[in-house]
Amino acid sequence: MASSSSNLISLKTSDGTVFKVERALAKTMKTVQAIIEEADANIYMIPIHNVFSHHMDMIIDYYKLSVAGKSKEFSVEKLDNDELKDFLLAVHYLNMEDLFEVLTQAVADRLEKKSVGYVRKYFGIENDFTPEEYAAIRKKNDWAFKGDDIEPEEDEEKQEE
Amino acid sequence: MALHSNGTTGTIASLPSLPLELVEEEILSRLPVKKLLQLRCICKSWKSLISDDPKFAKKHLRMSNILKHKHLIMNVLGDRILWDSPLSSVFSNVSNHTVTLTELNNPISISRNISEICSCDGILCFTICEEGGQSAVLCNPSLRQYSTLPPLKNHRKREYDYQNAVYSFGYDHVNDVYKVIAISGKYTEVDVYTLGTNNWRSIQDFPYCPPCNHGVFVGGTVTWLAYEVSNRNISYVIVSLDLKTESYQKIPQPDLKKDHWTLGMFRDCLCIFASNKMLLDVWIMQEYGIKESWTKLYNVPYVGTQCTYPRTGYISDDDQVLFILYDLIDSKYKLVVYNSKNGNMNIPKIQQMDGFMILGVYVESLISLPCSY
Repeated sequence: MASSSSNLISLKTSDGTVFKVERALAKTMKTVQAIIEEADANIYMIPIHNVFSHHMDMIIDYYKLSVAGKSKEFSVEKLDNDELKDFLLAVHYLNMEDLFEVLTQAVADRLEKKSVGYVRKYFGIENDFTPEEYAAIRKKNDWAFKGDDIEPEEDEEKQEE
Repeated sequence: MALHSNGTTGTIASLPSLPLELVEEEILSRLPVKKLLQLRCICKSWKSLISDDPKFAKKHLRMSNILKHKHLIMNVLGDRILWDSPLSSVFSNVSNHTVTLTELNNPISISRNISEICSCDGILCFTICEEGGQSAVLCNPSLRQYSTLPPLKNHRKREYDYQNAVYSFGYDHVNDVYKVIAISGKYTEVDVYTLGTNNWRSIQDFPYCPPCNHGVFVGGTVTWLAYEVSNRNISYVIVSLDLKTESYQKIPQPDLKKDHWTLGMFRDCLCIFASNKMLLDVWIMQEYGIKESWTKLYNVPYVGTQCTYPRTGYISDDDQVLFILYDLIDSKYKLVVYNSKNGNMNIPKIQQMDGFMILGVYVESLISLPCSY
């Protein structure tokens, strides 16, 4: 069991930056916590793959706000959709429950206004339907496509071969 | 299903973590049903998740409740149209806001008079009045699915008894099934239809005089306001049917002297909307079955000569009370929102609602109706 007399844990991001964070913050990262608990000796530095320094900056911001009871003030508005997805995957890797919920909700809110084609590209999913199957599914729920303000130029239906 | 995560360089850690599919599920469970129906055509596994996965449907239902993806459904008695509006629009505090209404297309079987609407987990149970009597139709408005029930008269041989059957609807969480309860209007015979089966089953008779209106689904029971006669006096009695054991219980009432009662549900507790010509009180039973736990929640005052018919009351999570009021001055039925925090009464601007209104509130859900069309 790692026993550090210091209250700080060193985390090294993918881009080589070292962050010294409070033990309490490290505890919210279940992945990191598991590493600490499995270590035989004192852990000097924990590498966190898939997490970059700009992610850590935002994680620290969120942590500071939630400790002050102001987690609702945390905003990811300035991130574009791909940056948000990236951040979500980093938080997912670190297994941080609360922040993960905040980010999945943020992604859901953004995707609500997007077309099917955009969502497919966003997750990188291949369409494994035959053209006939696809047409049948679209037709069945045709009413669900009406009355929405989906950005038209991204609607893939117009670009189907 | 091919899935790539862009933008992350570096190797995936050897430590166990959630599979990426769960990330998608977490996101999808937060989306409104209309969006999910569009996303069915993304790929086969998403279609399967959205339409054929009861576990995902339950997760989505939980999120739907948390995120308050709720709707108000309205019908003017005699009209063939069902109107739908997001609940947030009805409770909006924005000035000059007009409630947006969408017409819900409905098949022939609902193009008759609707007399009651029951709601549970996003499924509505309509009681339809026609010349031969009353029948019930189930509907998931989010999925636009409708399902008729096997005719009750085929189950009991006495056709005339079921002219005024009172239908109620709820969920048996122990057996994970939905049930429709029919109480004959004339006699106290009670039958149950379990969704997914083909027929009605008879259960014990209703222990008091049959209720006039549908029961409320609360705390794993359907609870009705019925009547009992003692010493030539008719008084209210509250009766519940446990959906798992299918047994009845008399529920203690608060000591109230108001003229007219309706039952409701709030935060999974039973409520009474008690009114006379001047006031509407809302009482809540904090602990089901315990008389002492009846507490007055709100007191809604009236203005002038209006009197109210709180036939359907609904309380939002932020303590606003929705009910129907009959305005004697303009002789019109109106939907009213009472904000219990600041005492404001607001009449939302809703077009096309002119006449006796029937309301229901439903949460968006993916729960599919078996044998639907």
